[in-house]
Amino acid sequence: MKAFEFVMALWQRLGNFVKNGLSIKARLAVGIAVLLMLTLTNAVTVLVGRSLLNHAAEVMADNQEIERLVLEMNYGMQRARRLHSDFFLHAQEIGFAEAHEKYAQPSVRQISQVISLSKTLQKLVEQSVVGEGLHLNHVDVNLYLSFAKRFADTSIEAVEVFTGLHAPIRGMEPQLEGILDEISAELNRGSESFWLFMDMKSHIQEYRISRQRPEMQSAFNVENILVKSVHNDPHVDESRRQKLLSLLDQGRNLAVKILVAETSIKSQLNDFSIQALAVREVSTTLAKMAKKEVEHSQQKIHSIRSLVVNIILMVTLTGVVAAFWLARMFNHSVIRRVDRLTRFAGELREGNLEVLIPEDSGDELGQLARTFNLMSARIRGLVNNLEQKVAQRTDELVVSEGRYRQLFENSSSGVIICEACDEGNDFIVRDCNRAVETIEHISREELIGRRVTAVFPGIQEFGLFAVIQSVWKNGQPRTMALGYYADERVSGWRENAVYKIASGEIVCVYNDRTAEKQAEIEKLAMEVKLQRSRKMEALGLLAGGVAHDLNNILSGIVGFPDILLMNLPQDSELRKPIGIIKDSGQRAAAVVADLLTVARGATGRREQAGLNALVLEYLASPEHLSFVARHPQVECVTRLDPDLPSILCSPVHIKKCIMNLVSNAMESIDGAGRVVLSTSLEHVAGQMARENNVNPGEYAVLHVSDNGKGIQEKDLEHIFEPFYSKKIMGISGTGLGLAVVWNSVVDHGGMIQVKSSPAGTVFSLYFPLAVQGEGDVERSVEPGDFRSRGEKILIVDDEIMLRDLAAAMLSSLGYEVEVAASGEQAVAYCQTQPVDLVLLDMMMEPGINGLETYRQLLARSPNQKAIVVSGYAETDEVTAVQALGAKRFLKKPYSIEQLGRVVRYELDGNLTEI
Amino acid sequence: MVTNKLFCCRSGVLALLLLSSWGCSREPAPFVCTDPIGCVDVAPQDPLQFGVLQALSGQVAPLGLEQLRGIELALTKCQKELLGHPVILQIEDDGCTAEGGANAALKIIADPQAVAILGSTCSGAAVTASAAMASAGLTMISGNNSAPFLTAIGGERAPRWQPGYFRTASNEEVAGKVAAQYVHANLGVRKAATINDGDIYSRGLVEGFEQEFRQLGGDIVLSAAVDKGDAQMQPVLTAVVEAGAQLLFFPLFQPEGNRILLQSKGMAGFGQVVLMSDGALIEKSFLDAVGGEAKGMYFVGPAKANGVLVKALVQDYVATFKAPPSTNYYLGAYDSVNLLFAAIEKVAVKEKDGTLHIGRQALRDALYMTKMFDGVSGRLTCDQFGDCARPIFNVLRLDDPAAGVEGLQTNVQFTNAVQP
Repeated sequence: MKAFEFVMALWQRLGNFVKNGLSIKARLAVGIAVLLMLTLTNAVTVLVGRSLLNHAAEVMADNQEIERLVLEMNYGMQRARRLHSDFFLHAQEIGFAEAHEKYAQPSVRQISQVISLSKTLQKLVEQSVVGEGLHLNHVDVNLYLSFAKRFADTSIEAVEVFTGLHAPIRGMEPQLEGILDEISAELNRGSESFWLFMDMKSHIQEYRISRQRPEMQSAFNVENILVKSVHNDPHVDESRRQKLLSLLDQGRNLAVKILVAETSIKSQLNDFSIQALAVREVSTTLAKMAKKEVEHSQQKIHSIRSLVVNIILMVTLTGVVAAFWLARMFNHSVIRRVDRLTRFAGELREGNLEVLIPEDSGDELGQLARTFNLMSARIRGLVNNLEQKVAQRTDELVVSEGRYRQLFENSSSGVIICEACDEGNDFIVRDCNRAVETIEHISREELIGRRVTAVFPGIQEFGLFAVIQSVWKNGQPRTMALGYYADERVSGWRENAVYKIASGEIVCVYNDRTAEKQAEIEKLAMEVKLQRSRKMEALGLLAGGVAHDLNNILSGIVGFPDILLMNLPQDSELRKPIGIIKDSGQRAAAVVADLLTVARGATGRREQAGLNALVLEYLASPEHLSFVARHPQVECVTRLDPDLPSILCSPVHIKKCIMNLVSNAMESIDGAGRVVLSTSLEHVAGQMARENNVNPGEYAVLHVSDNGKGIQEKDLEHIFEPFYSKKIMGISGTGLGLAVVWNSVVDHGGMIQVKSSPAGTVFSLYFPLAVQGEGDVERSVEPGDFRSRGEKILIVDDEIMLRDLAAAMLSSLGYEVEVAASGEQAVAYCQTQPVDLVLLDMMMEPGINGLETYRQLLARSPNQKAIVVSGYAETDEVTAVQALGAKRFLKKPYSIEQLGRVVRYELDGNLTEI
Repeated sequence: MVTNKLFCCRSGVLALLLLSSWGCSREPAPFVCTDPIGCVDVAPQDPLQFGVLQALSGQVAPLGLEQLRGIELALTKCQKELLGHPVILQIEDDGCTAEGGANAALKIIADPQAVAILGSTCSGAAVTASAAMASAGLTMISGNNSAPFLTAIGGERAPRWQPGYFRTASNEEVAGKVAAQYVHANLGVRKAATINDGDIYSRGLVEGFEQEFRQLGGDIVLSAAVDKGDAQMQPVLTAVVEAGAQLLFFPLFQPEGNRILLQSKGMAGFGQVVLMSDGALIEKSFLDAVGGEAKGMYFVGPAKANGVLVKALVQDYVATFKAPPSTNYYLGAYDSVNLLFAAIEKVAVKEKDGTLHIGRQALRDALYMTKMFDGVSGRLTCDQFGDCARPIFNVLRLDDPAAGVEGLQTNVQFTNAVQP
């Protein structure tokens, strides 16, 4: 019981040690080693058992063979003896020859076989496989062999002796019998010798029966007497006596030999008996030993089998227990814990990071569990951190996405993301930014999902489609130089960059360079314009200087005729020359005005006017009438659009343009011809607008065509340049006509199209339509409306003529007029005498100019009204004065009407004329 | 150079150490038997095995028993050990016959571990036994065989001589002569009859007697024989009488000798016939069997040994077997053991573990070379034919049957021993 408890306690401690003290690998190694050891034990047991069984079987087989050999030897020996004995028994009966053949020879053969068996047995016993007992009794085997040999020797010797003794005729016994017969024959019957002989013979016969030597000795004794009797027998002659004595002697010798032979036979028979006894003893011992060895071998085999079976059963049982233990250990140590780890991993996979695995062992799975727990904890930390980071990154991503989205959306470059379809034969728009919408004038919804070739039908002609296909195939980013794209919907200058992104989509980044291109065009135009401006500026400087002086001069020529005419009677003869003076003055003023127009643009007052009306006003003007008069063969035809909207324009300049164009047209016609003035409403957009730098929209167009000789190609580029004229300068033109037309139209925001051929020329003037309410036509006032209402006006001009002209005009209109020759005088006057209005010349010398004068006036009287008068167009100083409050500007030379209107409007606060 | 020398010196020392250690640790060369007829190898603790071939059955058994006792006394003396090995005996009964000797010898020589054979009792058994022994390479030494045929006759090798055969008993070739000389000279016998039993011993003695007697001028009137086991001796005794023999020399064993003696008594014509037998009948059982009928009977037998050793051995005999020895022939057996063991001690090769290797020829040679070995029966010197004892025979006459063997042996009528 204690032993059992001790074993159980030891088992428990071993189990605890294996469970807690060993790693799984070591446990598995121990288990596998145990199983391997048990398997090896089984195998070794089987092998050893098999070897032992084989050995035992061999031993048993050998022992059985020995037993068989011993039995066979015994049988052989016994048979040999029996045959040998039968030889002795039957030799005389059946004859020696037959006895030899029947018994002696088989006996010898039998004993020879026994000898052979003995040798075999001897070899077998000498082998190591026989049992120890038999091995130790090899002496008996040797002895058996020796006995067999001896039997063979002695038996043959005995047969020889027996044969020598009893063989017919040659045998001693027959010979003795023969001698006795001879003696008997020689002896006389009835004689003493005969009777002695018979007595001797009877002893011999007794001997033959008893084989007792004393009988033979008795025969010898009788023979001795017989010999004496023969010697003394008188009935026997000498020869017979000698013969009888000889025969008796022979017979005695034979008898002695027979005795020796018989002794020998007896000895041999005794020998056989001894041998038989010894052999029987040996054979019995050997047989017993062999049988014992067989039994021992059988018992050994049985024991080995039992032992092997028991060992195998025990080992197998131990193996089963070990396997069960290993499986249980593996189940407890590995499978369950792996399941637990799997569940734990599943929990982790499900996101339950709070689960913990019990760390119940220090083995690998325990370490794994600890590692899992650490990992779990770390993952928890990481997850938390990751969530934070994800949130942070998400925020950052949102910000970044927003940033990039904004970048994408707000990029001034158009970005289109498209995906190949039809194996790259077309591309579908997947996304685009707002810039695309802006550039292409199409919404994103209209773009996304549509084929590129459908949205942009001109893309293949544009060349971009091939680039996109190349990038899609090669993945190599490509750029496309600035080009002009146009389809029915959009057009413009595009600069493209195409690349392929990881998703395989193609990104087209492009810029609308139309503005830049227009700017370039404009720049070129500006350069032309600048060139022309510089040219014009030079002209303007020239003309401006001339025009100032001319205007001052012409002011008197134009102004005084009116005063003179007002004071002359209607029938005065002076009226016509004064009228011519006035007209010439006005024409001179017009030339100067053209100069100023070319130099400084059409700066006249803008008002809404119908183009048709202006055409008709011109056609009714004296200038046109004079042209018609000069070109009577030229027919002037109008084709006016009755629904033509009004334009905002300077009618003077427009009519001036019409006059110049009609004049040129008539002059281009040699002989009869036609000049057609037509108007129409046309829409200008696209390239035409951009090329002419006008806003797209509706335009009122005036076409002036003729069927004259046309303008040569080389001249077309220069016809609008000042002083470029094919006419004779001073006779038929000033070289300013088309320049005035060009500047007037451009100043009105319009454009000019010229088409000329040898069949004629067409000038088309495009004027933007007037906006509703803009530049309403000023109501025409009568000069009487410009009259004074008791106001006092101070005229400040350094030119006395102009001071006097202005004073005369204003005085004629009833104004109280004061004059000042300089700005300083005006300021001084106004310090003491307030005036309602100051008519202020800008260019005064010496002293302060008009601007400074006005500043000083304002310093005294901030609400001081003033009208700026200058022979130049609006200058910076004029602008500065206007900024100070003197809004109205009156350009020299002016008429009384012009002066009266401006003064009246300023005094009344009417802003229309501003 | 110095380094090389140092290296050489170190190498030499190392080599010497290795050689010496190899020499010291080397196992002795295993024994290789060079003996021409083989060796007996006796493992440690294994016994030395000797065969004992004696006549232990029949009426000759007392002689065999005495031989056995002599052997036992010798073994007791050496505590049944030789060269550290126990000595065991395989005792076989030869029945005092040739066939018995042959078969008994076979039993002994069948075991190759048999070193030698002690025996036999009877020369007849020795003839066949020695032949078998000799062919097996053993050595045989007898304390009782006396037949001349076994060793030498007339200084020449006897026909039944076998190599390896030795005896401490005297060659009885001399015994016949001594008997003839005595009867011729001292008893005046001129006609003598002899009876043998066909045994080599018996025939040897008879032939020695007849030869010497004839040479002395005597007449062998009858040379008869009996068979062992013959009961009726009248015919042969009649022949003796009718031959006119004055003396009947019948060197027979018991019981044939007994029957000759007893049946001769009261037989007509036998009153004056002197009866003379041999040493085989100088034995207590014979004397006891025939009693007073043997009175006046002559015996020729080996001279009795005397001396301190013999006396001490007798004491041991008596102490051991609780009876006085029936003959002196046990002395020969005793000497044969000592002679054999001495020779073995000379030739045996003993290994450290006690293993013995005994060359068979060496053992024989050692015995042949024995000179002046101090035996209890006298100093033994073995000749080339295996005769080791001095042939000293006495003619004894039984005057007092009651005195027994001792009295008979002391009643010496004639001896061939050199008188001091």
